[in-house]
Amino acid sequence: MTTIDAATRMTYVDGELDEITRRRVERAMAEDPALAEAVARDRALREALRARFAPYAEAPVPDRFRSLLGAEVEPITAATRRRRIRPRLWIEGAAIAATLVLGIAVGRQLDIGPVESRHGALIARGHLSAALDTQLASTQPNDAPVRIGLTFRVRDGAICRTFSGQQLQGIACRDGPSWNLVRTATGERPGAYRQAASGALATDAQAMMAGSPFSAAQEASARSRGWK
Amino acid sequence: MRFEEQLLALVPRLRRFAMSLSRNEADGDDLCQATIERALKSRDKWQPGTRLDSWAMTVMRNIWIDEVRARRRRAETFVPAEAGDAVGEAGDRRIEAAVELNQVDRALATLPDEQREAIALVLIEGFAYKEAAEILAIPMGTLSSRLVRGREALMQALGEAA
Repeated sequence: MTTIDAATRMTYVDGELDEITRRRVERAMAEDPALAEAVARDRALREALRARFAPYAEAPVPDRFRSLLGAEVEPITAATRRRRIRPRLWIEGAAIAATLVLGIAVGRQLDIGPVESRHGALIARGHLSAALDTQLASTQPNDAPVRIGLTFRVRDGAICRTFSGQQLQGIACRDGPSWNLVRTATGERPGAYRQAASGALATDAQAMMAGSPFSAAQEASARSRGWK
Repeated sequence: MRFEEQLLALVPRLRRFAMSLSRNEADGDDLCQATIERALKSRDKWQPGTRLDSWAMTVMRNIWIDEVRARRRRAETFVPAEAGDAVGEAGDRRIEAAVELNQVDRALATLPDEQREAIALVLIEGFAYKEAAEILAIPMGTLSSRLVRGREALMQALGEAA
């Protein structure tokens, strides 16, 4: 048994602990499998709740709200159907553009490290690539240098995974045998910036997602099929 | 950006919050509409430079308390949990996923409103504790104890369903 109570554990999962307490929880998790399991359950609950309501945040804004706010309302035609897809492409385009700008900076800063640039795309390599290939969010060690968050499919069918490490966090999408980093930000640090970056990544992940994030079982089966 | 445009950009999140409060599409969209209308009417109460999302969520939450909850009490009835099932692109979903969503709805229905709104703001909307406490006008300690109790109740409800 450890001295980490439920309130502290949940505050940890919500990313709201100060750094010293956060480390204390992580040390305790390394020694106490029951605590680590409880944290995994807390994370799964967060994901289940988010997945339940994500479709509303992804759906096009209904015309009744658009017209209230003075936005243009198109008649329900093929144009409406097109509009559902266009913002998504735009978001992905913007995310890729942002990645290229950020990625070059990050690549330099890290002296390449877990990332390499190939034909203008950023590709995961080394321990980042290994973590994306093999790690499951449900079973990963709590002290893993790279932690995997959500795994999900995007509209074009590719599987993408959010990850966070000390130097780098982001979204990687499977492309053939490698992982393309379609979104990156600097890694986990305590304080508001880290949270802002994680929040922005979560929003991006949600915008890219077709359907819900994978359950633990879906994640495991995707791994056994080589993330195809 | 114009106030209307900023608000329009927030509508997807407002809808999500409305749905997590009401767990019913028709009520959720009515709540969302009432929120947009009130936000437009009282736009001068929002301080530019402060977060519009927190402000709009506060407006929504107040309307939910004033009107929807009162209406529900008058009717002395609860919205059936099945009403939430028609969410999203059901055709895309596998049956397994639909069952999971169902369980989440049922689990949420077991929570007192005060725990559900705290859970919705922090776990679903992703607000920091400080912002969520401000939206709910409660101290941080109260927020965190509601989050703990709410989560324990959800875990229990989901555990029983499994």
